[in-house]
Amino acid sequence: MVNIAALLSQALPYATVYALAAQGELFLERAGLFNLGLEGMIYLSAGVTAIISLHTGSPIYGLLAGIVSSIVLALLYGFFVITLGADQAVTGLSIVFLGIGLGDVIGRATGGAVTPSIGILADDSIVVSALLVLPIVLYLVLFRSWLGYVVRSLGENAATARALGVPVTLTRIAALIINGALVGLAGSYLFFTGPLGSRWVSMSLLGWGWMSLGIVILGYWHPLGVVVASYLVGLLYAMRPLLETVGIPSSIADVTPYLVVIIALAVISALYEKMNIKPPTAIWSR
Amino acid sequence: MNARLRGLVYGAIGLVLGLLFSVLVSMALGAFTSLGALGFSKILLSSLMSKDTWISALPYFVPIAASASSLALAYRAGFITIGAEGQVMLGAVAAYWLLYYVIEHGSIAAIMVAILFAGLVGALYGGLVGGLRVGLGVNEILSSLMLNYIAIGIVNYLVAGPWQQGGYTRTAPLPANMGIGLSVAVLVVVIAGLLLELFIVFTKYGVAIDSVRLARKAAQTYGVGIASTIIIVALIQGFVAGIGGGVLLLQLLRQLRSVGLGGWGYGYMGILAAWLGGLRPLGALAASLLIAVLYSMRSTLQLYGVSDSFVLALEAIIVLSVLAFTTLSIRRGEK
Repeated sequence: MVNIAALLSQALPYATVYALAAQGELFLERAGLFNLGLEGMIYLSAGVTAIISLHTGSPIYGLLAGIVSSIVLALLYGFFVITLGADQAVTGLSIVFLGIGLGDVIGRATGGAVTPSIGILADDSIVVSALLVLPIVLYLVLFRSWLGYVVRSLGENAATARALGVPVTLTRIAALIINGALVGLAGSYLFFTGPLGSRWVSMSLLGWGWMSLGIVILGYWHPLGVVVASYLVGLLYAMRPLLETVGIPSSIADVTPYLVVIIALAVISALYEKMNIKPPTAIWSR
Repeated sequence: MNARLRGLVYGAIGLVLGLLFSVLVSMALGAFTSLGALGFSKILLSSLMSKDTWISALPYFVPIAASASSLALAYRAGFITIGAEGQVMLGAVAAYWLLYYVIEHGSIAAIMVAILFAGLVGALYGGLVGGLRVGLGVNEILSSLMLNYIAIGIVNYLVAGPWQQGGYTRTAPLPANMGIGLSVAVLVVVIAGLLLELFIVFTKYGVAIDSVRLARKAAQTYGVGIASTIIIVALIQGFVAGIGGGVLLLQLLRQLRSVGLGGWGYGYMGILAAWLGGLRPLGALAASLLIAVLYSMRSTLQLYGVSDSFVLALEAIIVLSVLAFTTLSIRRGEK
């Protein structure tokens, strides 16, 4: 017999990682930039969190350092895309490799030692913030405030927004910092509570950033949609052991979330269009 | 100087400056490793100067170059697939299946058929991404990435299930007569890259492909079918990457083993090489050699206790550095 309540709560840590990273990306994409580098930012943040919490003995310092490292990558992305006018796709993809490469070098320097964990109180508050507070705040800011109109105008037509006096560059840099901070928090949280449990194992934290990018689309660039999508994908992750018990080989069970997401991506766009929820024009138009 | 030549010259200046700058940054980043900046610089430079490094890089050049030259074509059309990784994997799976389980002998004809079959499977996998994009509006970056993970699942399923041989999660190695030499493998990929370059430069599709990315409205006005162009590009891209996978199996891998979530990485490195090569198949071939050389340095670095993933960071730094300098240089040239 499946313990439904246990399954529902097992999904929470996964959903938290996804929700944090995806909300960070959602905010940036609403401001008209798409950062494909999430995978690298999460990985670097996790590595930096590992080494700093090991050396300082304080998980909070580790967490903060992870966030800072991710913001640095986000700003590097901004330097290339905004200052140099470089292509967003190639810059983002390079950030992925840079983050994974550096993150792994840094994470491995811990030698796989167990670092102090963040404790249940901090864990719970991050979960609640990510899944309840953040989506509501983002919704209010983006869709019910003057500031939100400014941000969203950049995702629709930056040139017009600029002509109307919106400080385009400044707003986008602010969006990048928010993007970096939330994605970095996702990486730190993943390190503490993910499959490794406060211990660095090389190349075992892959796929989270990419999936978060998918979740932005599944939630159709809406904070509430994104949090629901995060939870559903988290649930898929939590269900993998269950699939194995009904005779599905572990190799297939492991990739079920990706399979389901690709199918979901295929059917969902039309559905949202009917509900008249639109993605930012600058990011995605059919 | 005409605009095109001027662009090339300024692009080349940017490329050289970018490469030089990336060497400097890489040396400085060596400080992150146990070797320190100086020790790392020594190893980096001596490896780059050594002929052996370049020769030992060739087996990796094969799948990276097949991915990169084909991705260059896709990116020219604004079709940002990152699916070469999965196509290389399934190409290898397809070649293995056909040779080991169906044909069961290693004649030249059988090997050629196996390589073509690898390409076909790669094309189908690539075409799926294109079809999802055109038919249902699914973002190709994400669908291709999910398909990469599914390819990993397929390989892991096969080597731990129906194709498993012995106690480890791997297949039996191909018999000695089922294979190709390194020079043939390199030749196949270089010819494929060359054909892609000719396809872009000398056929009307080259113009159509560029117009889909650069001037979509004009393309539509002049009767370029956006959807059909994307599908064609997706099929060709997958075909060449799949061939890379088939050749990789026949030359280097010889058997399939279980894979981690990072995949084999060749398709991902191909993405970097495609951009580094200026989205030209021939440029991508050259860039792939450089990326492959860095990749083959990872065993040397491991000897000194440096994480092999550091190579990934170095590759990213080269791409970012060249990107920065070529962007600046070309912009200066346009003034």
